[in-house]
Amino acid sequence: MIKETLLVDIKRNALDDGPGIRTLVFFKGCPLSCVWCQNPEAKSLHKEISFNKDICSECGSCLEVCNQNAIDFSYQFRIYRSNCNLCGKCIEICPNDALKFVGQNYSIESLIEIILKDRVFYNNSGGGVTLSGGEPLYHIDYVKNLVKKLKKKAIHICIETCGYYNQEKFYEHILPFIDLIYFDLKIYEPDLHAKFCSVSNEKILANFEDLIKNQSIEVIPRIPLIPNITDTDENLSKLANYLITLNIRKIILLPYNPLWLSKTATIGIAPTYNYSKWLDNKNKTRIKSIFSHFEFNNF
Amino acid sequence: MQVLDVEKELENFKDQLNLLAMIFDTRRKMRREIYNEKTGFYFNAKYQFTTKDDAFNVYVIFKDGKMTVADGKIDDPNITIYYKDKETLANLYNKSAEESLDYLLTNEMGYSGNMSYLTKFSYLTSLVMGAKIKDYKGPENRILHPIEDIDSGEKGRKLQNESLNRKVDKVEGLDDPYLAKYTLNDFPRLKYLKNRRFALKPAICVERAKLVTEFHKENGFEVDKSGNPFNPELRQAGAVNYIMSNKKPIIHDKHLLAGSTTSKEVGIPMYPELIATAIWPELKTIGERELNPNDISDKDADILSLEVFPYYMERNVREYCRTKFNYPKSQKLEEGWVFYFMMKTNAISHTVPGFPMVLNQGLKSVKNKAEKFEENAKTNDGKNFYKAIQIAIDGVLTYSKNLSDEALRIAETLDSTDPKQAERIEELKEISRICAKVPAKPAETLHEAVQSIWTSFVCLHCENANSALSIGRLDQMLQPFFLREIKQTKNENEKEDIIKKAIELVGALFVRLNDHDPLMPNVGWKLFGGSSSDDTVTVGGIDRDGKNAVNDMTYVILKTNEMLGFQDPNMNARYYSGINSNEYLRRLIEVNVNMGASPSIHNDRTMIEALVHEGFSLEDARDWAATGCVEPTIVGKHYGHTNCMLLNMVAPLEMALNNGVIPLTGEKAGIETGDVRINFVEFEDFLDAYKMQLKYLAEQSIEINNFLGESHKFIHPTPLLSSFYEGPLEKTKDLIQGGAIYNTSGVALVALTDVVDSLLVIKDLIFDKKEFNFATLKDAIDNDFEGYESILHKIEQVPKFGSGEEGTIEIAQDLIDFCYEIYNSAENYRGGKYLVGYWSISYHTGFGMLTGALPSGRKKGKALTPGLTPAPGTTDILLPSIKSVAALNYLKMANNASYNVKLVPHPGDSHSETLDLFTSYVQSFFDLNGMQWQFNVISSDTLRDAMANPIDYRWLLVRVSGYNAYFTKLNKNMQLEIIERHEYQPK
Repeated sequence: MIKETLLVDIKRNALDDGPGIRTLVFFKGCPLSCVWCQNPEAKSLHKEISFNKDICSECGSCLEVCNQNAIDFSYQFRIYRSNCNLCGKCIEICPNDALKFVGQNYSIESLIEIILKDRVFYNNSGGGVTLSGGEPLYHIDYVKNLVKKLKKKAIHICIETCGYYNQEKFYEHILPFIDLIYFDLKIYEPDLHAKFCSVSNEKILANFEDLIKNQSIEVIPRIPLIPNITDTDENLSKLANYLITLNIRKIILLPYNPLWLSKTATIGIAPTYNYSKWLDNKNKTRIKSIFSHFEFNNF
Repeated sequence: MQVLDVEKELENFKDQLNLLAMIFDTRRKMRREIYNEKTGFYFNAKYQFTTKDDAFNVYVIFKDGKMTVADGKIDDPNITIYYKDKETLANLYNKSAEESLDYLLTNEMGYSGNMSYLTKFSYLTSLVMGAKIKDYKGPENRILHPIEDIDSGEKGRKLQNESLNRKVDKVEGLDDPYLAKYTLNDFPRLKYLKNRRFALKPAICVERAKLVTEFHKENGFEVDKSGNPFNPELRQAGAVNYIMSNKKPIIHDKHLLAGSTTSKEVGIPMYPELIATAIWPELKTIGERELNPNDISDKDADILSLEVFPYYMERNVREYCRTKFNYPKSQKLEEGWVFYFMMKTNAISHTVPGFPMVLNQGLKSVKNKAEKFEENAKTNDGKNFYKAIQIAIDGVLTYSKNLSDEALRIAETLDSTDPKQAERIEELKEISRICAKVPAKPAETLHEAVQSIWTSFVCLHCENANSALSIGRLDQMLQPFFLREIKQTKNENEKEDIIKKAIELVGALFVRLNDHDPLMPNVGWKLFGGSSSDDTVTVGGIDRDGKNAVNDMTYVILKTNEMLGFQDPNMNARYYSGINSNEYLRRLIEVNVNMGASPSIHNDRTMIEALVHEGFSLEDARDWAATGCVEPTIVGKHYGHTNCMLLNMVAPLEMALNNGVIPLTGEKAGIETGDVRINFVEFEDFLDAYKMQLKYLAEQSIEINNFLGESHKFIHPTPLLSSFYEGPLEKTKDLIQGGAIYNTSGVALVALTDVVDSLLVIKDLIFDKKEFNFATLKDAIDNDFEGYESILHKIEQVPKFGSGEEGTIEIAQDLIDFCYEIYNSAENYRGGKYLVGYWSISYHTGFGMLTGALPSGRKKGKALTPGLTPAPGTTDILLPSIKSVAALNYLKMANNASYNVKLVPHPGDSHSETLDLFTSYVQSFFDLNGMQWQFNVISSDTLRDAMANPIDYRWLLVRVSGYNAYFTKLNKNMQLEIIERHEYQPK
C-alpha cells in the first residue's frame, strides 16, 4: 500500500472548486502535458526546487553551501537541475525564502488530519475536500485509501480529473466513495489533443461517456479557455455539440490565467506557449453565445 | 535649523507668566475669571511649575484677584505641573493652550494634583493667546454640511435585500419577515430626519450644567441650607428633580416623540461633577477644531467658565477620590494613560435599566411603592433613601407634563386650515395625550411604549452621563404592543399600515437616540475617539423560559436600523443556534453586508452559559442585553458597570521587559522582576515575571475602581436610576451602594494577542531554538528593530496566535485563566465580583500610540490588536483564525469578547452566495463555541477612498472593537488601524 505521496499544495478555505468551503489538495504529477498547463509545478511526479528571482537578494549564500555545482548565478534559471541532488541546503540557508521545495510528502493520516480540521466549515457550508493537481488519479493507489477513509468520516469529496485514468480501477476503488467529479474536456479532435496535450483524447472521451452513462454521481465537465487552442469557435462548438448529444447542460468554463507564465521560470523551464492577456469581454460574449443552451458558473 | 536657546526661552516663559499676571490687573474681563463678585468665586490657588530633574522651578499664586509669579518652590501647591526637562518646557510653553492635555499623553508634561487646576490654567492662557482664537460670537453654525440624500450618488450606500415569503421564528404578523419591499423612500419623514441628523453640527449644551449648579449653589452640596451634612441621595434627587423640572420641554418639528436630552437639536450634555472640566481649555476653540468640532457660543462658554466649572473644581469624582484616599498610587497610574483607563471618572452609566417594568407598571407605581417603604422604614437613612426615589420620580412626572403641555402649545400656534399643519396638529394632540399618560402609567399602544422609553431615557440622562446607558431588548419590549395592534386589523391594508407605523415609531426612537453626542476633549479624539453615546439595543435570542424570542419586532428593528444606517443605537443581535432560525442568522448577515459593520452577532448559548457559570440564575441569564459595546447585563436586575475599566495588557509586558520600568515615562511603575539581559534562564521565569507585573497592575486597577466607586457614593448617587431596578427598594440601597440583585463590575482587557504573540516569540527564538539571546532581542526592541531586520525576519516566521499552530492557543488560555483568577476573586465596592472580557473599544489604538516596539515584531506606536482578534498577517486564511479564537474558554470571559473580522465578498459571488458563505463562517464559529462576531464588510480600497474623500463617505460605518463608528470621524491612526486589519478575501 502506498503510504505517502507528493503534494504541491493544500489550500484551505477554497471556494471555486466545488460547493461550499473546501480544502483543495494539489497532487504532483500528471499523465498529460498540456502546453498551457496553468500549474506547471504540478506536472512532474518528482520533487523539485523552485527559485523566485524577484525576491532573491543575490547574497550568494546558496552558492556557498551547494556541493553539487548546481547553482550558477549567470545561468538564467539559476539551478542546473541535472546536477542538483535535492539536498535542500540552499533552501535552508536562503534568507529571503527565494528557494523552495516544490512537493512535499504527505502520509494519508497527516493529510486527513489537515482535511478534518475544517470539518465544521464543510458542514455549515455544504463543502468538503477537492482533490486536484496535477492529476489526483495518477496516484490512484494513494487516493483510493484516502477517499475510503474520508468517506467513513462523511466528508464530501470532489475530484478534478483530466480523465486519463484506468477505468476498471477507478470504478472499483474511487467512484463508490466520492460525490462529485469535475471532468476536464479540452480539445475535441483527437489529433489536436495529442498535439497540445501530449496524448490523444480517445481514452478520455471513452472514460467520460462511460461515466455519464453510469449516472452514479454528478459529473460536471470543465472547459479551459486557452486562447487560440481550446477557445476557437470550432473546438468549442464541437464540444458543445458533443455534450448536447450526451444530454449534458451544465458546464464550468475556466478563463485563461496568464499568471502561469511566470511560474515556469521558477522551476527551470521555458514556456511552451505564450499568451499574456486575460480573457476580454468580446471573447467572453462570443464564448457565451456558443454555450447559450448551457447552464454555467459565474463566468 | 534654528537652535533653541533654552535659557532664553525659559526667561520668556516667566515673562509670559508675568504678562498674564499683568493682564489680570488691567483687564476686567480677564480678572472675573479669578475674582468674580457676581458669582462669588475667588480663585485662590498655588501652582508649581517644575522639571522632572528639578532643574527649574517657578511658582504662581492666585490670591484675591492677583496673580504673582516667583522663582523657586512653594509649599502645598494645588497642582504641580512638571515638564520632562528644561528643553521640553522651552519648546512647549507657547504652543496652543488647548493642546495642553496632549502633552500629558506624550509624557512631555505631567501633573500631580487636582486636574481641574491644569485645565483652568490652560483656559486662562488660551484667553491671552487670543491671536490663535477666532471670535465666536455669531449665531451657532448648526449645519455642518447640507445634505439632501446621503444615500444617493455613486459613492453612496447601496442596499441589497433578499425576501423571505414565509413566517419563521415567532413571527406572527409579517408575511415577509425580511420586509424586503420597503425602502427609506416609503418613509419620507424618517428620510428627512436622517439626512438632517447627518448635516447637523453637534453643539455643547450648558442647560444641565447650569441647572445642576444653580441647584447646588442654592441648596448646598456638602452641607444643606441649615448647615447639616447633606444626605447625598437626597441632594442628588433634588438636583435631578430640579434639572428635569426646569429643563426646556422640546418637541422638534416633524418628530413623533417628545423630549430631548439637551436643549440643542443635537447636543452634548455636560456633567461637571464628573469629567466636564476637562473641556475647559478648549471652550474658545472647540468650534474650530479639526476633528469633530462642536458649537458653543461665547455666552455659554462664559457660563461654564465663570459659573459652572469653578463650583466643581473640587466637587468631582476624580478629585474627591484623590483627596479622600490620599492620592493613591493606583490613581497616579491611571493618570499615566498607558496602564488602564477608569470609566468611573466619566460615568457609571454602562447598564440596562428596567424599561420593561416602566412599560408594564408605570413609574407612578414605583413611586407608590417607595412611599409605602418609606412609612415602614426604621432608620433615617432608609427614610431619606425612599424620599430620594420619590423626589427623583416626581421630576420625571413634571418633565412629562411639561412635554404634554408643550405639544398643545405648539399645536395652538399652527394653522388648522392648512392640511399639512392640520395633520401635525393631530399628531401633537396625540403626543400630548401620550405624554400625559406615560411613563407615569403603563403603556397600552406601541406609540405610548416608545414614548415611555424615550421620556425615561431623557430623564435618566439628567442624572447620569450619556455613556452607554442602554435600551436593552427592544424587540421583546415592543412585541406585545405590536401584536395587540396587528390583531385588531381587519384587512391587508390595515395590517400594512400597522407594519409601517411600527417601522416609523422605531425609526422615530432611533432618530431621537442620535440627539446627543458625548463630550470629548480633543485629546480624547486623538487618543481614542469615534465613540458615540453607545445607546445599545439588543434583539433576538431566547426568552426567560428558553423559547425562541425572535419576533416580528426583531425584524422590524433590523429593517429600520438598516435603512437609517446610524451609528446609534449600537445594534447587538443574539443568535441561539438551534432555537433561532437559520433565516434569522442569514438576515443578520445581510444587515451587516448592507451596513458594513452592524449588528454584532452574539452566540447566545455561550453567553448564557458564561453568565450561569458566574452565578446568575438560568432564567435571568437568558434575559441578558448588551450594554455599551457588547457586555451582558441582566435587564433591570443587574447593575454591572460593565466598562468600569480597560486595562492595557501590554503595559505589564513592557514592565517585565524593563524590570518594572515603563518606557513611556521611564518611571518604575511596576515591581522589580529581574533584568531580562541576565536573569531569565527558562521561559517560565519570564512568564512568571510578566504575570507578577500583570497581577500588580490588575490589583492597582481594582483598588482605584473601588475608591472611585466609594467616591460616587458621595458625589454621584443614582436615585432615579435606582428606581428603574428590581432590588434597591427591597434592599433600601441605592444602586451605587449595591442595591441591585446582581452587583458585578465589568473589566475589559486590551491587547491579549500582542502579549501572546510576544511570549510565543520569546519562547521559540530565545529559549527553545536559542536563535539569539534576550539581550539581543531587548536591543532590537529598544531600537524599534532599526538595524535588526534579520531578527525581525525570524520573528515573522514564528507561528502566532490565530495561526492554529501547536502551542499558540495554550499561552492565550493560560493568561485568560490567570486574569480570571485575579479579577474573579476580587470584590468590588458594592459587594459584587469582577467579570472579565476581551474587547477594546478603540483603546488598542490609543494604548498602542503609547507603547514601544514589542517582541511580537509590532513597531513602536502602532495600534495594538483589537478585542480578541489575531494580529494582521498572522494567517492568510480565515479558518485557523476563527478556530483559534473559538477555542478559548468562553466561561472565563463573561464580560464578553469581540472577534473582529474584515471580510469582503468573494469576487463574482452573488448577494445570495455571499450570504451563504458569511453565514457558514459565523455558524461555524458559534458551533466551535466562539462568543461574538463583529464584521467589517468593507474593502481596504473603499476605506482608503474614504480617507481621501471624507465628504462622500459620512455614512460609512466601521466596527472598531465593540462599538461602531463613522469612519470619517475617526482619527488617522484609527483609520489606518482598520485599513491595516487583515482583509480576508477568500480565493
